[in-house]
Amino acid sequence: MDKLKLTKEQIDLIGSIVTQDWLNNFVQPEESSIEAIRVGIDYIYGLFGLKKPITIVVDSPFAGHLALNFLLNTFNTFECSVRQRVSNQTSNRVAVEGSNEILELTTDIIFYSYRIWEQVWEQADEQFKKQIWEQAVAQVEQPFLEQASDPAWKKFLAQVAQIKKHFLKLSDEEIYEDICKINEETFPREAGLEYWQPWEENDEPDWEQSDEQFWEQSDELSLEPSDQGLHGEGDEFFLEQSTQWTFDENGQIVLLEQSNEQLLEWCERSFWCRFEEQFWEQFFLEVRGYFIERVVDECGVYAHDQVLRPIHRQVNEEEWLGFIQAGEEVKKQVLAQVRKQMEEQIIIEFHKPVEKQALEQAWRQKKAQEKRSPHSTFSYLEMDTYKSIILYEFFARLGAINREELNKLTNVVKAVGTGIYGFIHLKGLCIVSTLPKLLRDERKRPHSLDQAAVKWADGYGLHFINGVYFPKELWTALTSKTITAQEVLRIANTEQKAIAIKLFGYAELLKESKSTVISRETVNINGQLKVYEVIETDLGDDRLPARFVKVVCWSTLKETLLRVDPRNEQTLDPIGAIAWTAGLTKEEYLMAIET
Amino acid sequence: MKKKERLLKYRQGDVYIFAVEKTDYNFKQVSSKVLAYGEVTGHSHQIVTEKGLIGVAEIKGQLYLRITDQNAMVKHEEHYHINLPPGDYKVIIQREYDPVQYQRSVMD
Repeated sequence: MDKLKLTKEQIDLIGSIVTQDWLNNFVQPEESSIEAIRVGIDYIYGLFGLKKPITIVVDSPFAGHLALNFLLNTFNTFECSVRQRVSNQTSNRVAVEGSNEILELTTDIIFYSYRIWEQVWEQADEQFKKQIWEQAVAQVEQPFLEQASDPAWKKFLAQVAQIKKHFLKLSDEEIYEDICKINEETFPREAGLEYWQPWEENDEPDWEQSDEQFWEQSDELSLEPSDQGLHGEGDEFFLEQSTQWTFDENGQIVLLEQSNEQLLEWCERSFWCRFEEQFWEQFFLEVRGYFIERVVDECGVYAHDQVLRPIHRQVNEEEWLGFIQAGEEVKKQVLAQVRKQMEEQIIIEFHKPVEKQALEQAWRQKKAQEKRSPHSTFSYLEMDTYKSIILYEFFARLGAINREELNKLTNVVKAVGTGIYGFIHLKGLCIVSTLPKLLRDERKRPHSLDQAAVKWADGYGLHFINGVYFPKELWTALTSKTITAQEVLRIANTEQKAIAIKLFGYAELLKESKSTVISRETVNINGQLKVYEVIETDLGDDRLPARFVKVVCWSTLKETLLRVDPRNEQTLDPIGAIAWTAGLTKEEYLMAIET
Repeated sequence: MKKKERLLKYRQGDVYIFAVEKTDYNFKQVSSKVLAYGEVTGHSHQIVTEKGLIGVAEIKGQLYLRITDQNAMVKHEEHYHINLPPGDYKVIIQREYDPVQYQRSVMD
């Protein structure tokens, strides 16, 4: 590689631009966008050759655990325990073999989970569907049968009977004439069509297909059966509904109504699909069946579809409307009753226990993880990854790294930067926790003296002051000013200690510790003589003793201690120390006329 | 050797304002400008003018002011107001030694 010919200024400039670009990526967005997150997750899955997953977005890692446990409990305990073992194995593997690099981290976890869980998933998926369907049917079957004696059902049957009666009023001769007439119109003899045997020998039509064709042609009567139901929707429903969960301060679920509503709708739809079969069977049995026999006898099975349609037109329009309305009324009343019963039975007997179990498990996991490392079930980008990528990006902009390859890595990080805190990735399913609420100081560092600077919706929070993490107990003692000077001086972590000292107040701490006056200078401030001093004391938060210059504010005349760099010789002198706080040499400072 | 020129310096709390020779920076015109916020109180050092505008330019992170109005002043809730005569200025916010930042910069 050719030696890069860049000046230090150019390198510094590129460095600062890269850093700022990536800071913007990481710091933004303030609010997570579910759409953007899903696009990001789809990209990551796609990058590794995986199908787009169903992505559940929840507002905290705890909610993610809950969603996962809900799903696992919904499958059953066997799959749950298998998943747990799989999870433990993969986590251990990743912990042993993994590195902080995103590519390795992500591929390891996704593919370990993918390979092993793949074998379990299909079984679990099938069992889940079977379980929910059996329970739903069990709850719905009896109410449906009870509907058979319901007034609405009776009215419907009466309408069916009315239509049947209309047809029955026709004599065989009249029907025969009708059929002949219709046959003549449908299959004109002059066209040479053999309507009674329109198919070739050994090439019989698909009976069900021709039946469907008939009902498609009858769409003006709105008679086509609904195709809504179970087909591929049950699993998606359960996954999606968990996005509706919200939590109170203690992480308890406070809103399940919406998901319950979806469950009801799903069950209703499934039920109605089943009910409709009987609904139409009744009609076919009573009305259509009668004619099918007649028509088939007369003009062949294929022709009956063509024939039945015009025959329906013979029925009084009012009777048809009555029939349709009665059917709608039946549907409405049946579903109302089914809903009422299911609310009490399915929700309470099925949903709630699962929810309770999932909640308990998730809560145990949360507690256990808080003792170890928070949110460890989730995969997330370590700070080292961000540092690394800034470094790689820097070299890529210098032309030292292949941009195309790096883009794969940067795009993954950008995808995560759409507002993802962490995610649990499984085949076909990805549970995402959005970013916590973050409070910052003016330099965009996590910071708050009033509450946790980093806070998730589940109530878990981390306390920071000017970018330095504090355990909650220490943060509380500092911000409530219940900490003593001695306790401040005993803080072991130097970063925390430095912040604590500043917050506690230098003057108070100096009273509690041995200090040495290094130099003094008398200054005339508005006609008053004031003494500026340089003082040193060992606060234990730096390798060198802390050095302060004690100055007086010209307008308020208050004494202030300013901490100065103990490695800079200029700060040994009060004026030199003040000049240092302005970024000037003592000479430069003295050159200016202070007003 | 060129004789060093004594520059006018103003200080209000932790804000230093140095008069500088006329610059050729591209100043953006604003009606007021907060120079710094207090860390604890939320009070601010703010430059205001009764009429006219204040020129503001940020060059490599360094704030410069161009005052054309005779009545421009730096205000703060706890300090005396400071009148700034017309001219160009460099604003420096007083810094303090931060052992955390020092340690981090050394480690990086």
